[in-house]
Amino acid sequence: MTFFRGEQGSVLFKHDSGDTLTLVTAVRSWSLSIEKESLEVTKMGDSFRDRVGGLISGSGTIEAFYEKTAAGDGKGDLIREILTTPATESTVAGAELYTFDAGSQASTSEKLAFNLLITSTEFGASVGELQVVTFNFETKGSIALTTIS
Amino acid sequence: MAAADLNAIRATIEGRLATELAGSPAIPVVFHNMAYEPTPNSSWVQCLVSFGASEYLSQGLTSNSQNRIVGLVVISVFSAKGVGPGANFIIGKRIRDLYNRVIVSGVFFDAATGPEALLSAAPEGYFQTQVRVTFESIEEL
Repeated sequence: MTFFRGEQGSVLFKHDSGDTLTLVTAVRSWSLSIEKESLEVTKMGDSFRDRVGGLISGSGTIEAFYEKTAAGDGKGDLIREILTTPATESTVAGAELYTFDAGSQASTSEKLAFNLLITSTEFGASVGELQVVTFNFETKGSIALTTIS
Repeated sequence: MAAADLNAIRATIEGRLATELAGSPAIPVVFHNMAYEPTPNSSWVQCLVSFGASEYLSQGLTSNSQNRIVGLVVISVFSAKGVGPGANFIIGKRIRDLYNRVIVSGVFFDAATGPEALLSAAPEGYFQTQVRVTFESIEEL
């Protein structure tokens, strides 16, 4: 059994499906919560409730230190993603959250890959602390947990 | 990006003080591991830079990652004994203004503490105050 620490993680992001996933620099943390709906299928005569799984969805957070960035790099695109207006939102953003093999994303790395919608971005500046940007997202479509082979 | 050069950070901090105290009126300044024989009843300054515990800032291992390096500058101002604190505090103000909330060469200095008068000077025979400033620098690997 092998264990991993948080600093082994990393985040890749792309603004649109045709773009290349790019490393988001200076990420402090990421989280992804995956939920499955529970549908009850208990029948008359059953003594115990029965359930089957329903639709699966995900939501999560990426927390990164603020840096001056440009559109076109991973963090620059991620910072600007929330400003993509819904009326013209023809792009599909995507992300990969790596659990280990940070930075290199090499063979045997394990990742969670999905398309996403950034639902909120919070900028903050506190005296005496580095400035942090927090991104909240919801997944779009399937979520895959895969190992790069 | 590369590992932080702690000696460069030290040189940045000490160089700033050396340049200031070389100006008029010039005050002798001594740093870590330097021999110095103070002239009795004169004013002089001792600057000690120390690095503390670093901590993780971001994800990533030996590349594309950041650490926070923290440290402390303790600057002692020695002046003649028995003549009041004024001359000492004038030097203390020069030093405090030099670091107070300043950002230079990637080193972030916090709000300065002092000049704080010490009851007993080390070495003895002087009136001693201390200005202390914590600082941090971001290491980008």
